[in-house]
Amino acid sequence: MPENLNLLPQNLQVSKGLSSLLKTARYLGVILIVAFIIFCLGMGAYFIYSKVTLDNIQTNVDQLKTQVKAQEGSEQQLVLLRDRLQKIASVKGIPSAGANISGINSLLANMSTNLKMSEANIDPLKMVLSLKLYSNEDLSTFLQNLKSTTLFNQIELATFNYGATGYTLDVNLGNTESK
Amino acid sequence: MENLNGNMNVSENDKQILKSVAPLVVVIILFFVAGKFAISQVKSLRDQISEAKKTQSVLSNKNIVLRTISQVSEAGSSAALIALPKSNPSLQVVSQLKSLASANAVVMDTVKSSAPVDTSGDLVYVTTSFNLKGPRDSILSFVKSVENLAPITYIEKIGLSEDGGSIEAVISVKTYFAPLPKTIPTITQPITDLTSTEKSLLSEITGLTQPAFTEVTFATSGAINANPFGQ
Repeated sequence: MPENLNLLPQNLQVSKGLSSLLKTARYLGVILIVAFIIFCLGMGAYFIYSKVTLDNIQTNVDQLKTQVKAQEGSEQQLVLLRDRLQKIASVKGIPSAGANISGINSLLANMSTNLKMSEANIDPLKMVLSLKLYSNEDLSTFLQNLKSTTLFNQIELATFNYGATGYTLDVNLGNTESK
Repeated sequence: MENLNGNMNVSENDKQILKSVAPLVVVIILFFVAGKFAISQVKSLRDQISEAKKTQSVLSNKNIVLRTISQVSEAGSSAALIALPKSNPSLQVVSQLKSLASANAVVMDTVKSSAPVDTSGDLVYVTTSFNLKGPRDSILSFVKSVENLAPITYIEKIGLSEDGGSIEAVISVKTYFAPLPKTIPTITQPITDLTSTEKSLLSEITGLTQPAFTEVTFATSGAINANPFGQ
């Protein structure tokens, strides 16, 4: 029957405590080696899976790029359209005298055709009117229209004359928020 | 003898320790080094996947938008280019104004167009001035209709004087134009459909009175006519 003989002298043998510790270290080493191998295999598999996924996505991206490139004409037209619309929007923000034109009709509303507009100068910010009115009714109507207009927020009756032929008025109308 | 025995005792312990601990240490070091390398590689790959997915999403959306908007953008860009031309539209403007004068039964003369003037923001304008004669209502109707013309035209100033029921007007209008954009987006740059504001503006400019012609072409002749009087 084989027997384990330790021929080392007693004073050269490893102590029991240390021996147990070293045994634990050996077991731990084996476990860690196995864990390391599993870790490497896992990471390898995950790497391969990710690479395949990336390749598939990249293929899809290349196909989509081809499709988008085929519609380059449409894209250019859309860019042009957006560019024009943006610039048109900024042009529409520029003051215009046109907004003040409708003011003339509202100021001369309900008046007789005898009145004479001797002069009118209109720009985006103001309107200067010179009128000749030949009746009291026209004068009242005109002053009423001036009072009720919402198109201008500054009104100045610069001159007002009465003569044998009727009334002569110079009116300055301003609009600080034109257009 | 005692020293020799002591040295041999240390050496045996060291050997046992080395045999047991060395593999453990080596594996730990391998874990550290290989793990760091593997994680960095996988992280890099995940970042590439994330980036590729974003590009895929952008391109997919862009493809859909371009397909759905192709007809609108084609018609819209033509209308927008007429409303805000790429080059000096003085001839179109004068033609439009003359047609408008005719439609409103007013007489138009002394038409002048200025040289283009640059403004900030890529816009350029030309000023066209002219005289009108006609009844007050016709003149006012003409003036109101100017801002419904294409190319987009705004009234800069008006001077009116009335004499014997007829008005003489000196009118100055501004018409804008702008050069075409010089760059188009890269293939992976996202695009979006027109916003509601843009659609509304597009609808508005599509309703403008279109000019009789949009481009002026010049007749080309191969040889110089030796006799310009046609004989």
